[in-house]
Amino acid sequence: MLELKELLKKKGVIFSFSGTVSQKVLTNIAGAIEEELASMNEIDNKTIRSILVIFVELMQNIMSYSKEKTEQTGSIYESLGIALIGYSKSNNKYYVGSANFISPDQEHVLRERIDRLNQLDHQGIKELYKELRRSGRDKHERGAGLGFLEMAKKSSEPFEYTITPINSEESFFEILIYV
Amino acid sequence: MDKKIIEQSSFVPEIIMDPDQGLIEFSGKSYPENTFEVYEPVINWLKEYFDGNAREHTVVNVEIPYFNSSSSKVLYDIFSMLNDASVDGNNIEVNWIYDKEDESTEEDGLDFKEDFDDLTFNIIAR
Repeated sequence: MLELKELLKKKGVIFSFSGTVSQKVLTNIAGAIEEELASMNEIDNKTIRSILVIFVELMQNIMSYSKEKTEQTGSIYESLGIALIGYSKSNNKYYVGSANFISPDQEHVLRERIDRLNQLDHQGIKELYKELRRSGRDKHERGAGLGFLEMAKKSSEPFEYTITPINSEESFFEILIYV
Repeated sequence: MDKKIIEQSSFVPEIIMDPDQGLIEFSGKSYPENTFEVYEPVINWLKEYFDGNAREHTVVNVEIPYFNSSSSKVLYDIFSMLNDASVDGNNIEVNWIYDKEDESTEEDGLDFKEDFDDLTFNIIAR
């Protein structure tokens, strides 16, 4: 574990999680993170808020994607995920990152959503957010992509992500968001 | 109509719906996993309330210091319903209450207000 510790330190990781992501886990972790960050003098409240918003959306995305896989295939998919919160010395920003397995057919939608966002400026993001939010009452399919926009509102740079095919059943999705 | 209360949890606000007083109140954070299921009873109650059971004056107090993206969508739908009810002649007042240090929640309130011209939507700092 010493190696892991050194790697985490090198990446500026303040907080890391790896395991099953559930609402209960999320609630407890978010509370712990909030307290931890609040006790750090060098972070202001606005940044803490942004970190938490992004963290919650990423975790709930992981839960939502596994639920979708479970429904589609009929076998139980556990929401296993990794989450990192840290500070990048190279660009002087806090970041929130996550990783999880997705099925290859989810890849297309993910790429579309994130690539679209990444092309927008702050104003464009706000406008798209409002547009998506007001589109059709009762359309609640997995939040209709609003989650990524919620995160984009709080971030200062385009999202960095990679999708790595593992086998015919799964790909590994990683995303890094700078506050 | 019956009064209905949804209990507060770490990620669901307390929601009080009182048909006799014409008072609906939300207090607490909102970030459930199954937002639609959580809020469905609220939406159904509101439909019934405005279907001939509304008081002369209805007050909706919303004090939600944090909400996730799916809650944002549901809240939008609720305000949209209130906006329509206002257009139909109901006297409704929405009070968006936020902690005066919490700029983020203040902005959220202003964002909602922008979309609902026919609704009396007050932004109130505590």
